[in-house]
Amino acid sequence: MEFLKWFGQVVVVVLGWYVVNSLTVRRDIEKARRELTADAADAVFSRINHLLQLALSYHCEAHSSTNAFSIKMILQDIGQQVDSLMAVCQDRKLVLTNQRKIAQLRRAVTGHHFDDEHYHPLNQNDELLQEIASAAMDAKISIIQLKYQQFPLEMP
Amino acid sequence: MIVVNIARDFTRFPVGRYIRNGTTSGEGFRERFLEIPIAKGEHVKVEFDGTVGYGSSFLEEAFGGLVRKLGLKSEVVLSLLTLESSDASICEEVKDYILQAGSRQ
Repeated sequence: MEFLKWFGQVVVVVLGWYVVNSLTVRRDIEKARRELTADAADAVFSRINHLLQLALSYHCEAHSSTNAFSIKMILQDIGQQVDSLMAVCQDRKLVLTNQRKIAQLRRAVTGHHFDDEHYHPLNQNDELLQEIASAAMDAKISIIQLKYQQFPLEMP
Repeated sequence: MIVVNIARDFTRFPVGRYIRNGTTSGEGFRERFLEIPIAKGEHVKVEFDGTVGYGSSFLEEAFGGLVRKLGLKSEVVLSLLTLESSDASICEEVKDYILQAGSRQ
């Protein structure tokens, strides 16, 4: 009788430990996922800012092959970073929206007056510069939404 | 199916739209790797990874230009192409160019 009582207590303790441990592991994984997503979103945000500066200088100055390569590489980095969010972000629609915004940003920055079409610097009031700034802003808003969506007011 | 890896078979530095400004342009890529097989109805898989990145002018001229040059419907061109990239936004953009070029015909 005494043994059964002791055994029952052991079973309860082991089960309790198992449940608490499972919940802790799950919470830690979820926390790491959120942090990873938020860090990646911050990195993309920062890259977009850098790209915007570089793109505005590129279009307003004489053609520079070095800057053109840098712009293409940054766009590629951003695209791949956003793609990799598919693996960790629960809301895939939001990642797809970000992919579209990055495609629009690439189109705005490199669709016209780029590489072999860059004959002379653009005027600072040129519509293309406004289009680039607008596409960069949209991409930044989109990635910020993805970041803060990781931390809803009511956590599950 | 013909497989074309742009970085391996063409250049790691795709630049510009027109061939008059450089052989590594979108027009150059289209003429060398896409026009003949697509005109024959062959399937082509294009792999985008490995280059230093793409400008939209290159992508538009290579793929949108394919629809304009061959006078094919967008759906036909899309059905003959398989696009592969670790940056999905590139594939989406290329599909957009093909559809836009078709809608303007």
